[in-house]
Amino acid sequence: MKSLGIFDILGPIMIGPSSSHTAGANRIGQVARQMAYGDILFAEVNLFNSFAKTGQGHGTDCAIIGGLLGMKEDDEDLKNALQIAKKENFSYQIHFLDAEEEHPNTAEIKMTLKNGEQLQIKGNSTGGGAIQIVEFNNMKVSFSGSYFTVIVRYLDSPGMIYQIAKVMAEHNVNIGFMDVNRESKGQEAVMVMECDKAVEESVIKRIKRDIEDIYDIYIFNPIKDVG
Amino acid sequence: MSYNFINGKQLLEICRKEEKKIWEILILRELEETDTTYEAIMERMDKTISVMDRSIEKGLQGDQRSLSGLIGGESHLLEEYRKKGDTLLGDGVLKAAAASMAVLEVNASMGKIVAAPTAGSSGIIPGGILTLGKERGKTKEEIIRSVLTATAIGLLIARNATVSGAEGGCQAEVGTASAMAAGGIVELMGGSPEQVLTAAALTIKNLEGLVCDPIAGRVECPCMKRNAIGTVNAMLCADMALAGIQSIVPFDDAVDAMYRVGRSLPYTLKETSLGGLAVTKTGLAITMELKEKNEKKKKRNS
Repeated sequence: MKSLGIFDILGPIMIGPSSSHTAGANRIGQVARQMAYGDILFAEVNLFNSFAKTGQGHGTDCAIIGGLLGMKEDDEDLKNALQIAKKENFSYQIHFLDAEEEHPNTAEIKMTLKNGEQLQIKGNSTGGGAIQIVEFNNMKVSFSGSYFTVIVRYLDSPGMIYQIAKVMAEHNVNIGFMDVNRESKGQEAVMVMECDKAVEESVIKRIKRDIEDIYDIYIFNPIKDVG
Repeated sequence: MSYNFINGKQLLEICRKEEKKIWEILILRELEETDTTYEAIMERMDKTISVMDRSIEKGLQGDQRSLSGLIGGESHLLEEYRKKGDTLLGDGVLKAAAASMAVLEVNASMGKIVAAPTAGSSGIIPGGILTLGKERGKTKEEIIRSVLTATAIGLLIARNATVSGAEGGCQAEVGTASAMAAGGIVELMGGSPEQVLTAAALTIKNLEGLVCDPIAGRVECPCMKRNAIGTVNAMLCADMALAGIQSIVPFDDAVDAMYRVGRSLPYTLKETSLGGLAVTKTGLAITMELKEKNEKKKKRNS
């Protein structure tokens, strides 16, 4: 684990009142928006447990819708996010749910994109504004959003990890953390790589072009640390 | 040379050996541990301090209302009272206390603040250090050095105990912020690294055992006023340390005691709103009222 630095103690710069229920919730929304490249037609937001129970007192609903609209955790318009959504005709629904098996602060976002594609993510707010994305398209994943992250959806078959990692290595991208999961053997699989530097579009193009059975690739810039 | 100090004793040893102040060691540590630059740290400190400054100003205007409507305008009231001139604590202390409350009002109304170390304790460093800095005509550089000194204290507490109310109670949040501010104030007033840690130790001891029992789970009551006491406590302990008073229990032991007390506090007194002020007759009535208001809002939204 990385040791704490100056701005882990001093920060984040954020909209109050709660780093977990406001800043963390907003960051989950930010990840979802990046995943959809902003092309969201409709979003269904499910807030679980403490997010559902005390969320409104902490502006969790505004924070997460704000994130989907592209607002960061230090955006002073965050408190008006629901009105802004209405003005921009951003269509969403929020549900408040209980689920014992989920982390106390969990949000699930299901999105229909303008091209008809369906995307789902689930994230936990783990304290101090930190988050962990735990589900992507109903598959278990694990990433923090604080690194340059690449998600690859592909057909589970021998050598895929090797081939993808090889392209990354050839472009001198160091993979800090990697997480691989699949529906079942020979079905769709998901790989998440958290990298130390930005992954260029050309790397993504090469993976798509040179490797068979790649369904889709998503890249994220780190969402941590406005400041 | 490793600057990665893990406790107060080690930090003081490094300061002595290198003949440097705590804030200098903290910067050297950051440069050693990450690939940042001195300029990048300073730029971000500058931004952090301007956000703190603006949050004080905004809160003091007195027009902030919290999400629940439970708090808002108190810092303005305290300032107006202070300006009349006949106060018990005097201008310096009351100004700082009002500033810390102002930040919490901004936080509770979904305004912009710096978590320091948490959102619930975000008023104490701005109130204690920034207000004093302005009063005494300190330069921006001196204020940055003071806040960095405070951060070193926070880092040690986060590493060796906790800064989360859910884990350690309010003593871990407001107590930590108060210790941080005390250390920063000593630096600002020209004290030694030893005096910084003495002030922090005294501060932690004074708030040891403070529970986290917010009404209706909101970062509002008693949080805002606790920020005021955290600020005043920091100033008192800084004065004691600068006067040459020692802490019989040194910093590392005080942190350890705070952590152990925090762990033995019952679950009901650690940010669950199941004990203390939250379950008084008043606390429960407010909780019920807000719950009804929320149910209506939920129905409208979904």
